[in-house]
Amino acid sequence: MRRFVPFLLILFAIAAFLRVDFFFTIVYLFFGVYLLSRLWARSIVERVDVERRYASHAFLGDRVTVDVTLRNTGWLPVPWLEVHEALPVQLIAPPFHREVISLGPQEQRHLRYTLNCRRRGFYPIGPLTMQTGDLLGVERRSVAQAEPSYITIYPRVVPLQGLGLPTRSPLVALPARAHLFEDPARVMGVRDYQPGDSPRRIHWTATASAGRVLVKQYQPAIARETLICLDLDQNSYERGQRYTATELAIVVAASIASHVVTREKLPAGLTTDAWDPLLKDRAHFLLPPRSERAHLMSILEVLARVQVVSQAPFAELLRRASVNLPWGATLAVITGRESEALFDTLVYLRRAGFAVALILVQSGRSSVELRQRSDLLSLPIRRVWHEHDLETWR
Amino acid sequence: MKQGQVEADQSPWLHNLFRPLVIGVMFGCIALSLVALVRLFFPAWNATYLLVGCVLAALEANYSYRLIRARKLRGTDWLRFRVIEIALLLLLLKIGSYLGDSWGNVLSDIRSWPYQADRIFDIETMAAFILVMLSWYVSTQTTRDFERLHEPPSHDRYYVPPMDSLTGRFFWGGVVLLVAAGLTRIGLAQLLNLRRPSVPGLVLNVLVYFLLGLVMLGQVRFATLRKRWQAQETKIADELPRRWVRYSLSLIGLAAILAFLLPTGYTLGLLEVIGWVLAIILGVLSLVATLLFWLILLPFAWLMSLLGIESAPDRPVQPPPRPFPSDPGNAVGPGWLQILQSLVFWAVALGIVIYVVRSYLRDHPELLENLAALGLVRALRGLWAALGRWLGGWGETLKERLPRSWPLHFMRRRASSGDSFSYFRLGRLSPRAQVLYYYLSIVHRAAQQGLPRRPAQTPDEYGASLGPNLPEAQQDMDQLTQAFVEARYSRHPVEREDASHVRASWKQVKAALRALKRRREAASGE
Repeated sequence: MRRFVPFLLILFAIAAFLRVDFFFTIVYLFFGVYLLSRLWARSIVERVDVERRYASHAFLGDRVTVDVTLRNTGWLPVPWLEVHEALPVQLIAPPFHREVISLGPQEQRHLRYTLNCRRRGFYPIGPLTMQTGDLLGVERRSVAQAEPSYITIYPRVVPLQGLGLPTRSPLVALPARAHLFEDPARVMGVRDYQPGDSPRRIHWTATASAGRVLVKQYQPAIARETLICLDLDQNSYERGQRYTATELAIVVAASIASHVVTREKLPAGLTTDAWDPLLKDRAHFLLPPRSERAHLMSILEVLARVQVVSQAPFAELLRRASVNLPWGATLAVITGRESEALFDTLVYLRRAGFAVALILVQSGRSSVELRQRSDLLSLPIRRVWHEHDLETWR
Repeated sequence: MKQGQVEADQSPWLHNLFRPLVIGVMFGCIALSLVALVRLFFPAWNATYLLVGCVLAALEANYSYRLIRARKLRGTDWLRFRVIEIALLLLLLKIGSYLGDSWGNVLSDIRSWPYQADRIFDIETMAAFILVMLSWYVSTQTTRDFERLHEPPSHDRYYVPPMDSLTGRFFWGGVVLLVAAGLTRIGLAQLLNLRRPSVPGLVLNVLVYFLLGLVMLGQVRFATLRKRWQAQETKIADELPRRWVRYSLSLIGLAAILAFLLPTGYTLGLLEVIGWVLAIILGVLSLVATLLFWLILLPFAWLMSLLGIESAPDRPVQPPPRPFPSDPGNAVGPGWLQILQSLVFWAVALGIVIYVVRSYLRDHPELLENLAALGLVRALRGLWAALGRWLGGWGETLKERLPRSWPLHFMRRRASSGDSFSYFRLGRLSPRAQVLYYYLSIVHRAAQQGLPRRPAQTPDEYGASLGPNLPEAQQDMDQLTQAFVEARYSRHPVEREDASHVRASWKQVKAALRALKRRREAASGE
């Protein structure tokens, strides 16, 4: 209210000129209203605490209820509070939740809304903007913002009947534990501890000597580890089908990881170069093969948030990923387009002692040339374009 | 938003009773003061009916406005309705003017109407009619603005938001009310007498008007915000309207308590209060000076009495000057209580004005920019900046000069002002302070021997000028100078070891200075 202050000054001038004592009381009344309104409006917004409660991770198709608690921690009431929560358009329409509430001293209110997890991803919930002001329009509005929090929606996991990936292990179909494939009597070195390593592998003497946790590396008998190599270079997918193809490639990677860990009880890992919305930058992901369910969730979490990126040479990624893999490990290579450079790398990996399978996420049927090349290189190649293509894998 | 929905959102009590009543009472408050003002000129005028007329006209305006909107009256229908309405108001006012008259007088007056038309529309009636019509018009406009609060804004270039229109009307009504009430209380004859005493007492209609106005402002604010929230389809908490009323009343009540606690009366004007404050300060200062003078003279008087020298015959002791009278009933000036009361009043008043203006300008930076662009303000700012530069220059000069001499003095003072048995211990100082001390002590000693450092000389220049006089310690002087420059102007750490090296150079330079002194003394002896 722009006129309030000029009016107050006019009142003061009239009171001072006419010298009627009571008119000064009126001046004080208006000044009191002005002062209290300003102090009140400015102090209250900072005393409102915001807390969101919700499941931060969800699967595709889930409905997540978000409970936003607004708590007035001060002893002054909040006469009105306009709350605006910005929400991802992929999960809710309209993409916001707006409400006007009033909070008494030490009072708390809950705002609830439901998100429909219709698409995998890593989404911000918020920021929550709060506006408040005084009751008479004397003071400008005060605005405060609560930081956003995030929800991760895992990609779809398609149950596979059988994986049919190549392996050098004669025991591949057996639900054997990992220790079968490493000989604990033959320690070939130590390496840094990584999450998921068994405490029994810790080399205590070396750890004490080096001052950091080191684990023993046993000589492998036969490795049964599977590393999923996911190509998220945008140039590896047809322009018109890029979104569908990359999303399907992610579903394929998630389904394979889930199958290997949960059904076959074998270690699975993931490597990819992608855009990470959490870091807001491109990132190189390398999750070494592990067979724990928690590790599977880590893989799914990465797969939930990765996005395509430009200029991420896939062949180079494959070579880098193979460096730390034990001999005999399986590489499930998922990409959208075959190329000579890719085949060269795959042949190199086969010769290095790895089992390699190529999964092409592209429409159409396999060409004769591709089948011939598959036979020539003894390289299993699968083509996927629909999710039900995965279900028919044997 | 549809009209029906808007009306459904509003409480019928608020719409049909509270709001018209508030408008009527508020205009009644203004009318009361206006009538009282008119009665200053026509004391015999019985204007009670006019007051009632104004209130009723305000209520009727509200009702008729809503009736016209409900019946959607347009063109001639609207004109006919309004003409009949105004004629009825005039008739009722005329009837009201006969209240208190005897029936015979009324009848004789009516009988004279066909022959003397001016008796129907006499001055009194016309003045009352104008006042009532003003009440009716303002009330109609206010009702219209209240209705507009729930309508979407127009894109007309002359569009005034209803909130602005309502607040403007409230404020201007308040100004008219204050002026009328104030003039009624002080009288026109005393208007320009600035030395007249203040008028005490409560003015009830003024209080009612402003309290109701503030409550109305709160409701208008809520209606404006609610319109916006509804347009944005924002969910509004059910308890919000109820709490809004409660919190508004609490705020206004609290402000009212504050207002009634603060001082309102004053006997001295602002300049007089400033004068008194200055007089008090001067009085205190002169008292202190007298005491100091007396303390200085006391030993001399004692010595003179010991020597048998008689002082001048005692004059009658003058009572100390009384800077301000202490008797409140003294006719010479105001009493303590009055001065204090005026002082508090003006402090509060000036505080309010300064706070309000400062916060207003802070909230409206564009206004501040416009003010800054004014020639006079620019000139004043230029003067202020020049003053700042001048003072800053002085500060810089002091800063340049003080560090050279202060550390030495400071170190000595600190050493001497510690415990009574302590003495200056160089080893207690930090290495950096030790280095500063070594150099400054050399400067001091050299100055005593007629080799002072000129104010414009840098340490290097001074070292170069001192070197030829101390050929045996020139290298040490250079080292001392470099160490001083580093310790004084850099943030490099100065270690104890560095300080001990400098100490060795200091001793050499000191010895060279002593040798120079001896040589000079020997030369002067010859």
